[in-house]
Amino acid sequence: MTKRTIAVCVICGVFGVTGVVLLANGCAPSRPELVKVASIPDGEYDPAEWGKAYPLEYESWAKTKEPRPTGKSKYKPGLDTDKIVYDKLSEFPFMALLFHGWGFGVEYNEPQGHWYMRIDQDIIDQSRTKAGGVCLNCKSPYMDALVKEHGPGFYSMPWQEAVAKIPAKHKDLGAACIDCHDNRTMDLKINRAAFSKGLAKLGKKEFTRQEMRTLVCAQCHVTYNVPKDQNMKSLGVDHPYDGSTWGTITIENIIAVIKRTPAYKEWTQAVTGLKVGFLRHPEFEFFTRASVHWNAGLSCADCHMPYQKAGANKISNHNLMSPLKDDLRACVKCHPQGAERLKRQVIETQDRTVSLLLRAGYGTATAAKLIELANAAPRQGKTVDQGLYAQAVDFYLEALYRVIFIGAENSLGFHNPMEAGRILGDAIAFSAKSEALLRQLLAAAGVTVPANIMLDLTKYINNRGTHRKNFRKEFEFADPFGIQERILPRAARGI
Amino acid sequence: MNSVRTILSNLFQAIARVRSAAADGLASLAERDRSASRRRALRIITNRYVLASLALVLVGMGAAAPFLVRITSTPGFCGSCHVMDDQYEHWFYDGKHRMISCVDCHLPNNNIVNHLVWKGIDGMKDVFFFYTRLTPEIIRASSHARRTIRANCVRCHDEMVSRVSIDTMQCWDCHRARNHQVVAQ
Repeated sequence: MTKRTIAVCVICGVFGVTGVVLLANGCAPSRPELVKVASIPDGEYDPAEWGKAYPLEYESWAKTKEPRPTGKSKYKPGLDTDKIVYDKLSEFPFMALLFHGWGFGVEYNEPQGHWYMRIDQDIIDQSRTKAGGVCLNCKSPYMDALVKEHGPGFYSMPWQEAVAKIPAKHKDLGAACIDCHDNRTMDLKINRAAFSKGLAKLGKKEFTRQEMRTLVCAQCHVTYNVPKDQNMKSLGVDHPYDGSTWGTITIENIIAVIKRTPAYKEWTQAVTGLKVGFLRHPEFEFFTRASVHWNAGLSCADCHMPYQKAGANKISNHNLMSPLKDDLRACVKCHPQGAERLKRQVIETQDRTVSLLLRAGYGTATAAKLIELANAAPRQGKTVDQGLYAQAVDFYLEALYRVIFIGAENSLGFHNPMEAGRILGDAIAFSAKSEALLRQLLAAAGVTVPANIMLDLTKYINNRGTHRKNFRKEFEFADPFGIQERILPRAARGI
Repeated sequence: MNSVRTILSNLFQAIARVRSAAADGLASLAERDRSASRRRALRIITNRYVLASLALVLVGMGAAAPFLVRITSTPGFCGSCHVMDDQYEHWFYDGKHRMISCVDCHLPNNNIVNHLVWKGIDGMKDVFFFYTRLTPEIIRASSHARRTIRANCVRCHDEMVSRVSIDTMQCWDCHRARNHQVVAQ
């Protein structure tokens, strides 16, 4: 083998291998690129401008204005074709007692979706907006800009004044494109500084695109506290995530944070006289706590914004609603058993959650009335054991916060059925123990207490607020399994 | 005819020159013993009849190649190994992708060289695993296979998914009837 032969072989080999490699990796038709017909200027809030570049998604988003078919969701009516505004306090009358003392006990309706989220704030009894400008945090895309412009004083600015600060054209604008998307790349991003702050507490900094498909919803669908100063002026929006981690935001941690932070005691519960905190629509915390679908890697958007065909393309469905009202289109792709069968399963889950929620709610309401009795005892010259009382109040609060948590969560347990059962089970245990302790201390104080505590619900549920709202029997959710009436007879409820 | 004879005689003369040059080149060294077997090997390889047979075989393979590639690309061929029964039957009853074959999804189709190279690799891998009885009970796609399949999904459905992000999940995480496991209803 001469040097020349070797050289020839090597060169041929190199060319050959290069050729094969190039051929193997090249020669593929390039991926069709979406033609950009318009560009969206930075800081553009108007969805119509975004719609010029992405007309299909804009059209889909605009459909949130339209009513949904009536009768498809058993427990979450609202913005349906029947044009009825459903009173949540009539659905769950115990809430009228528990929330008596502030706005939620005056008027509390089933939500009407993203289109009306800002508009409904003006329609509802204005005792709900007493907290001021802070109420715009989850409603207007301009929130962060307004806080930047007007300073932290914006949070406590009187409501009408704060709303007037939103640019007039977008005064009624609810969830908009800018809330979730970067205008240049359409990447998902967070548009709420308050939520970014809360997220930082969870100790996770980098998020995949799939996780962002949950986080953009979590900007608003989370529980929060409005810290108040000594004059009860709102200081901002805090998320009670101290002690929790990504995927494990527990009700126990949330309650612990509220209990130990005096600034989070936003209102005084009239029936018990206690200063208590509150929990709001905790979908993110609830869903991400090891629910089946979260563990399977799903995000909010996978079920609530399923891909749909729009002409020759697929787009995410921007007409957000309950999958029940969409005939479970998002579900049947992975669960091919058919919409009817799946829907029955969803309703079974919700039935059980509602049954337990009624047990926990009325149990807590009973304990509240007993605390009211215990508070009145000294006025009749009777002394009450303070140790037992303190313990009873502590258990009562544990039950109350759990009832509020599940009551405010918008899936009636479906986002995490096992966790719902766990939380409500604990609420029932805490309220039962609280009731037992209260009966004990009242008996020791010489106060006679009937077997069935009268809840006097008419006092709390009728003639509410400026709209003079009353109890509507047709809205009430009865216990699907008939157990509640055995624990607490209807006569004891007072309605 | 004369030009062919000229070419052939020139070829044989060149071969004879290589032979003698090899003999001369090696004679001067102490490699005389090893060189004997080398010279014999060289003589066999450059023997005209051997060369002719080799040429015939190569031409035959070249002619048969398209036919062989075609018949080994049919679902029937893939399904002829009994371990593939589950996958074959599922494809057979699958409405939407019944018109395309296994190789349309499971081999790269971006260019012919890539396709044939991986056809060879995957085919021989299957032969090895089948005949050594190392086939697992549940056959799962390797990570390279998953990349290939996904690229093929996108190859056909490109326009359909041009407005959504396809990096968040695998296509078949939701479209379960496509991965030989679930029957769509």
